[in-house]
Amino acid sequence: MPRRDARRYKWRSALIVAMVGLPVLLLTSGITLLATSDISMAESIPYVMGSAQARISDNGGGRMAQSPDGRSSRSTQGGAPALAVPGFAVGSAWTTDKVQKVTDGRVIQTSNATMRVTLGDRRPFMPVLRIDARDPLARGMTDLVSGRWASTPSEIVVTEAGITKGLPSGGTLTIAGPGGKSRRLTVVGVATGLTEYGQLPFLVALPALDTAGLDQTESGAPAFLVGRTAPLTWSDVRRMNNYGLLVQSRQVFLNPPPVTELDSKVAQTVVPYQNGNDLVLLIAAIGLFIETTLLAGPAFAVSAARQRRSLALAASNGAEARQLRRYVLGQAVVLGFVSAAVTVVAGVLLTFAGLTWWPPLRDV
Amino acid sequence: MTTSPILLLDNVSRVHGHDETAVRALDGVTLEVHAGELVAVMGPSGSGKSTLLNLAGGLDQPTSGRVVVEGSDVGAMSLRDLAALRRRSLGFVFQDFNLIPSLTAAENVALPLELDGLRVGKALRIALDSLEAVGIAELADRYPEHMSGGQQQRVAIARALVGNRRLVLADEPTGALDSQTGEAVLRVLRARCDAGAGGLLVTHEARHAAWADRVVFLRDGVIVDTTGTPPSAESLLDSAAAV
Ligand SMILES: Nc1ncnc2c1ncn2[C@@H]1O[C@H](COP(=O)(O)OP(=O)(O)OP(=O)(O)O)[C@@H](O)[C@H]1O
Ligand SMILES: [Mg+2]
Repeated sequence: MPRRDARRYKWRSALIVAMVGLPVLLLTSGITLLATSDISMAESIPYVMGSAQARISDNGGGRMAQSPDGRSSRSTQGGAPALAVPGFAVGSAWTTDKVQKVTDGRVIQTSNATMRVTLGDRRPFMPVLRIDARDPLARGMTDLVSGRWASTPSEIVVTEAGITKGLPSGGTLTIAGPGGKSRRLTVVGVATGLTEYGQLPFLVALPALDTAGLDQTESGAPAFLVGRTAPLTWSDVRRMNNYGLLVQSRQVFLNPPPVTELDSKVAQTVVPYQNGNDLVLLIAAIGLFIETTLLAGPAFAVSAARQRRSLALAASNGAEARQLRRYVLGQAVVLGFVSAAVTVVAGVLLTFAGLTWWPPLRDV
Repeated sequence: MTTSPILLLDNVSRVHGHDETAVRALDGVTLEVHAGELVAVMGPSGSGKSTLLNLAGGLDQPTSGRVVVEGSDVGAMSLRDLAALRRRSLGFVFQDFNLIPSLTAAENVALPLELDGLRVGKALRIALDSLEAVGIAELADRYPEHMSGGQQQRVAIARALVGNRRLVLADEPTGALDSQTGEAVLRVLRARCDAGAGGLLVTHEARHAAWADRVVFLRDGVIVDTTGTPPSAESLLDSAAAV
């Protein structure tokens, strides 16, 4: 009888399903998001650091503490000056050599910039990934599709994303500057590319590409990729923080330290990615419970009241208390089960669809 | 009658409440319903007609006296036995809301059988026979809201007498119907009794009581008269009303 009832009263059942189901839907998409945001930290490794052990950038100040993903940081010890690097003047700019002194291994430079290019009568700004892409450390960040990598500052590689924006896949490309001054670069290859935040660069060029005098904005100081056999551990990261360096380490991305090991102020800014999740889930579950009892409960009670006559009729036809209880419970179970099953699946699917079609969600 | 009755009420009383608020709804009523017999119960509002019917169906227990259905004393039964009695021996037809709206006609009729543990398929087959007997087998798959009031009451009668159920207790089954439809429903009830069932019919209308073999007239919980000749029912009603 419960199944027939649910079948017969589709809309009332649908209402109850929705009332129980919507929060379950939100909860499951939340869980899915959290689950995938854990993965996305690991997934971001290729475009943050290519094949390197770490990506290092100058945090522009004294000693600091950072989050495992390097997205947040703050200066520590009352802004005490950074440790000096032996052989380099205090406060001198970071170079591959200076970074190498701290990290060991092999160090190359990379940065993201925008350049103004001439496309017919348009002169749009386009993002360019600046790296010596011939270096194996760049693999994953940018990979060659056809042609070859740029080997001189007068050569450039366009990405597939760039081609969809109208860039040529061969020939020459004019980089336009103010005052009619311009420079012609040879397009020598086509590549794939991802930048630090998962955006698509349209061009890949050597850091040495001489852009002086051309319209160009650097989006951030140069960063450094470190190639070495030993992974950079969380304690390595914290040690290097004392030099004022922000470190995004492959090892740490794959195995983030517990939130308890973070600087307390930094920890507050970090999206809980471990124990924190349990708390989030607990809160969500409690909310779900309250919602269900407050909204779905009465809805269910109303539908139960409407069925008092049915129940009385069943009783006058010899239904025993046991059978009546089973009927009422059965309905709760049928609807509850249906809504839970439907929405858990829907929540997971919707979230994955969202992740696929709406990229900002990936940053959650 | 030489056969034992399907329903026997032996000096039955029912008092609601206690002491000064006590209402004597039924007072020493004795009544028999035999197989093949339709007995009508008439009387003014509050005279105890529904109380009588509920006692006969085991929905209520007498304060004193005996209610015997197919030889079993209802007063001595446990709740489970009572439920079994209502599944197997008798069925109710009320004024309205007789059918469970989420079940089709056939499923409604099959309900007591299913509650009794019969497999769905078998219960539905038996239900179809019963629907056939009230002349609406073709409505088996309709839901109540897609049936007329008269059709719904016929389904209720079919359910009251499905399987081995032999006693139908009808409390103003035509109360919500126009007189023509009501007449048709009573004809069905009459036919089912002619086919061997026992029927107890509560009605306000002498015209409907005319379908009965006997009319029992209740007033203030007491049987004030009984007649075996239906044509006199109307005059009985008149004389009682004049009292
Ligand atoms: N549960 C109850 N508690 C108290 N008194 C009741 C209860 N049920 C019925 N009564 C009283 O018992 C008396 C008989 O009621 P009953 O329902 O049997 O009358 P009836 O003949 O069916 O009336 P009607 O024609 O209006 O349906 C009435 O006075 C009624 O108020
Ligand atoms: Mg009544």
